[in-house]
Amino acid sequence: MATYLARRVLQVIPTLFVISLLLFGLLSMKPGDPIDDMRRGNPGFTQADYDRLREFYGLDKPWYVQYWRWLGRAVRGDFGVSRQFGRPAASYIFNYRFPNTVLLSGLSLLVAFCVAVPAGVISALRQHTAVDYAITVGNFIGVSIPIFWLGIMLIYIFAVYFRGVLPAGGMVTPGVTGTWPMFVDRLRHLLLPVAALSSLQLAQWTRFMRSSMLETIQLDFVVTARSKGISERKVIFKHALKNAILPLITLVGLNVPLLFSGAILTETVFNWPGMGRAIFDAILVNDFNVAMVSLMFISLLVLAFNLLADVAYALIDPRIRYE
Amino acid sequence: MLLFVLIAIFGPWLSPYGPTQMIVADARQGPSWSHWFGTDLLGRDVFSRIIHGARSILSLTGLGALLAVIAGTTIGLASGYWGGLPDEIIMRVFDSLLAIPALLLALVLLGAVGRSQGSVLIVIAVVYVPVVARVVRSEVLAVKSLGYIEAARLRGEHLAYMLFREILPSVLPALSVEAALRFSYGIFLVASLGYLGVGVQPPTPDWGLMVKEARGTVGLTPWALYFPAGAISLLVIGLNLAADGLKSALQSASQSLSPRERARIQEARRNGAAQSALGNEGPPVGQAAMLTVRNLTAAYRVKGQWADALRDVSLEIRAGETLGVVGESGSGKSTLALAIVQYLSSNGAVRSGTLLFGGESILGQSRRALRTLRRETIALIPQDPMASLNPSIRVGEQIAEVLRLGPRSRGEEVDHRVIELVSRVRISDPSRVVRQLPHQLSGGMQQRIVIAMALAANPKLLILDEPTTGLDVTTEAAILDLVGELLSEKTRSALYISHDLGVVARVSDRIAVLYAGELLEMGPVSQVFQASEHPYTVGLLASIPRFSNQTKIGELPSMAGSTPSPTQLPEGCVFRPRCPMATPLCLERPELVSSQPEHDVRCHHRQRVATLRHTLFAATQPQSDAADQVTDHAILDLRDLEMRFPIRRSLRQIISGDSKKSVHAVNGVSLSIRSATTLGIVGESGSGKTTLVRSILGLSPHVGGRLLIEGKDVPAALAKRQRSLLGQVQAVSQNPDQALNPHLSIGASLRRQILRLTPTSRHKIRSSIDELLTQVGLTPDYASRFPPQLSGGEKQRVAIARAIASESSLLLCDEATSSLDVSIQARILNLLARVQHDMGRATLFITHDLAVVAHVADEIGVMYLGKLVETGSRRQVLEPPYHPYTEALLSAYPSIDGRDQYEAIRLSGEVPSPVDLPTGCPFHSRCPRLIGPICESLAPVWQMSESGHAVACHIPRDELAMIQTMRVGYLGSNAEDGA
Repeated sequence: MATYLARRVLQVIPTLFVISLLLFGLLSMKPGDPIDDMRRGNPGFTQADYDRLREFYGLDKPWYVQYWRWLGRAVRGDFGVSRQFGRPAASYIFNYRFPNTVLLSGLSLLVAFCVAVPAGVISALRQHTAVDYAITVGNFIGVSIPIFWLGIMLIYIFAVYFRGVLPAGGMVTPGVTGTWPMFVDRLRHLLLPVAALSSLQLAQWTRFMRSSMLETIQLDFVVTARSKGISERKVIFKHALKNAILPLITLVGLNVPLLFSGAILTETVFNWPGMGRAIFDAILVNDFNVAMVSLMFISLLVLAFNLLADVAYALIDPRIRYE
Repeated sequence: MLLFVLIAIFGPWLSPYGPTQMIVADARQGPSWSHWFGTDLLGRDVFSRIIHGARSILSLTGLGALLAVIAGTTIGLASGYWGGLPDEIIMRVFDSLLAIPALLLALVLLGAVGRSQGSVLIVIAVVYVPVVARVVRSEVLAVKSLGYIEAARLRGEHLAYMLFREILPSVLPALSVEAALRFSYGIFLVASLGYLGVGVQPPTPDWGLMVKEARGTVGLTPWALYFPAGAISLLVIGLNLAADGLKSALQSASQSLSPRERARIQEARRNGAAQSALGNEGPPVGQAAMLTVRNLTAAYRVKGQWADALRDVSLEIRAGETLGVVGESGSGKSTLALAIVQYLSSNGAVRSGTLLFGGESILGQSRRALRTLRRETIALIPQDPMASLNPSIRVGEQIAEVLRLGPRSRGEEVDHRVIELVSRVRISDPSRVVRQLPHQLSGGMQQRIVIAMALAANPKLLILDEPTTGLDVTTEAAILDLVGELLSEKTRSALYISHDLGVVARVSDRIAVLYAGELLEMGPVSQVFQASEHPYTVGLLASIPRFSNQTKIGELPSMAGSTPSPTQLPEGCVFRPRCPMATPLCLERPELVSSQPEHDVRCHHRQRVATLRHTLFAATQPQSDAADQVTDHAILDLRDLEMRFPIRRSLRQIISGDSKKSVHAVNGVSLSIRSATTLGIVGESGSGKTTLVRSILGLSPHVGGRLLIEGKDVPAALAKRQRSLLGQVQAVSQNPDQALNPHLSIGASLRRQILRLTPTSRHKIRSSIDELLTQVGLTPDYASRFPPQLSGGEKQRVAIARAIASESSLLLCDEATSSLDVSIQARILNLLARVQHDMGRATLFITHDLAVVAHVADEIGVMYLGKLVETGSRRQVLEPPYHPYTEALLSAYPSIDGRDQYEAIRLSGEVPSPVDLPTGCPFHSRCPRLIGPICESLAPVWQMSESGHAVACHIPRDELAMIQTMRVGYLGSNAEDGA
């Protein structure tokens, strides 16, 4: 197990390298010259200044040379300065944006998983009943409604129609102090975005869990368990459930990129100050360093989640022994 | 869905207004007659914009997804098929792309290529290429090792043909589902990009963009938001439904039943139970009967009609008795077991009849009562122990579970009982084993645990459904010993189901023969085997290959045709179409009649069966060896052939510089086959026999030694072999279901083989195909059929036709009959013998079945752990066996001739790992005749007799001969050599 883990962790390095190369190349292809943007506000800007600044920022070199320099600095932890905010891009992202996204996505993932498993199990065990049909229809709707639309509808219903039962967006209400009120306030702000973001995964995972459970309860060892005469509850929870959840764990790991895609939309709809928005804005205004560090970081997170899913799988399923 | 496509195509004519046409006077209007979906802030008609938007989104996503599918399929096919370094690099790059969330990747890409409809299209394609490629690749990997792909490689097909004709059709189902899914995700992506304002730019009508624009004014013009958003959802729902429909349409017949069908099945079950209750008042049940089955009819609901898998079956198991049930596939023997424990699958029902356990009806019991019944009285031991043990629970706990339900179920007592039960099934070191998980145990150990589990509740009736099928013969023998021992105590009754007559004979008191769902004969073992009165039983017994003290047996007597399916039963007697004794009287269904006490037969002509028995068994009288044809011309020559598979080293091993380890599959094998002879290689799983065949074929290139065909050195890799050579060496593989490409007609499969490997001209090809089909006992009209329409035996015939199409000089058969029923196997063996006889081919026949090898082979090699341990003529090797391993194999074989008079030899332990080969003799760790440290330290050299019999053992030849003489009083053919 330990060697397997070590190998998987080491494999992340070349993957990250390829990702950074791809992203750097693509971002450099973006038309528009940042020095030009600087010139716009400064009438006294001369061609000599322009050339000097280009050289200073290394923009006169071809992109692969720039990439090499970026990589050299990046491995030492220096991701450059944000053009928008004038402070180190990495610390800006980690201190102000990253925790918010983790809060939002992590909570959504948790909610989706914790609801999907029981819903899927109930749906499978009550196959062909009204409950099952209701859950199935719900799933179909869930996978068919775009997050941004659901978000808008939630805002409209809870913040507009019911006149502010829940806040329409943002993360904090200015002026709220004290631990408990702040906690409640944060929760109120989280409710709608989490609902919107978890909807898609919730629906997908419930469907998946249902079919996985249906498949598992037909397997021989479940039949064996029944033929022993042990109670149906034990058959389901002790024998079937654990084995049925396994494939879902892999799916959760694989769905993490989808979750982050959703997070960008959710953060936009709800004005949530997270990484998704930061990346979006950075790409729009050509804030190269911020875009690069956040994209790299998200990719790293995705890879970490994939690894985590595999490890969790190995821990639950004793048959998998990674050598 | 169709509606959306239609709208997208004809939309522009439908829409009452232009998409950007502003009618300021009508701005901010709600839905009305003139503006069905209302207008937005600028006075644009929402309906018209949605219709135009449909065109934009469908064409963008559709084309994007199509591009992704085309590019992804090509890359996936090539990458999966080639494998190796290019595959690894491509997949690593794709992994990297997939680690970037799709929306972010799309944003970055759009930044790079600019914002326009064209770039959105490209972005969709780029984002989804890796996804499609991975799906296709994994499908390719699944198909790649199937028999028909390897057959295509063996005829040297070029790449494009392989990828697009052989592989692509198998990938298509998964691909079409994937395409539909990509389409639906693509809609989301395009809409999301539109919503974020980075996709299609205004004023183009785009649904996502419309949602964005309407969002701020939701209070004023809610319709401008609802309608485009609703349109997106509807479209995605439609696409998802389509993908779902595709998926379930492509899945096998195990679809879920419609509510009406379910109601029918429920009703049939209720009716059956009600009838059973009535049947209770029938004739009194015999005092000693433990289980009574009376007129049982069980059926499965298939495609809207009942298929009666069991019809009118009556039998009885008395206390302490073991009833063996034999039958080929389709006989309904497993249905019988499942019906008794009430585990018929969801589409099955007992339609009529009575099932009594100790006088109580089993049918129509409440769930609770059924649970008690299963817990306390009936235990089922199923075929596949690995599948019937929970993979994630320790085996001890799985046994303890049962005990806790009974009396005296406190912690320590339970633990104690578990250990007791595990030792009862002859597992040494039980306290260690109970802590292990099923996958850590070998197949034989797993089956022992399942038996222990079944014994835990101390049931009155054991139902064993093929408990040793799938185990190696030496393991099977040990399990049979255990089962025989448990049953001989006569404390519990048992129903033992198997397709193997030898196995059933070993453990049963009485035998019931099932055929096509009907009970044809039932009686004591000796009666049924020696004095059968049903033509089917006689035919079945005759078609089993046997060991014989005589020279090579001729053709096996075989039955024509195959078991009818329950939906297409013949009129009258079910066996009539295949019966050699059928008369017009047989159009009437015979009753099960008992002439002598205890011997029931369902046949109109039972008195005449004895004559049939005599003629059939007379047909197996010895024939002379085909010695006249034998020459010294060696077709195949192997010299010290070696094949190793490298295994991946762990990081630590790489760092610490451990030498690279590998699986030694074939470990220095030398043999030769002369023309017109058959060399049979027998060995258990892990002996390397299949790898040996694959090395000769070039599918697993050998890494050491020499491979000569017709005296010429042959390159190890298939790709380096010339086409003329490919035609010379052909193979028939084990699994007939995988041997033929299900997407190509039989004719097409054969045509390709003939075209590639023979000089036949195109206009003669039709007649060549007809000739081949006739040669293997099929009719020419089979050419237009497809493999799924054929039975297993017919598929294997086609596979043989393909192998002999090129007039090959060497035919390799890898377990060519193992998956077939005995009556079918007999005919395939006859066919192979005839084909060889006619053409003077050399044949290498690989099998685990000793009797089959004894039947087909002129010479035999016994293989163990990658090495041959004994070679020689059939008689030299088998009569008597010299090498201790050959001896153990023979002793383990469940023969219907009965060899029980000799002391059984059983092997202990497991086959050692082929990674760390044992030193000295490979068999020393399990050898029952170990002579000392020399066996562990020194590899034995071949002891040759003058007539070519060779044994690799440290025990001197004459001593080995002596052992056999003392053991079985043998004075076999080797006596003169050994002296």
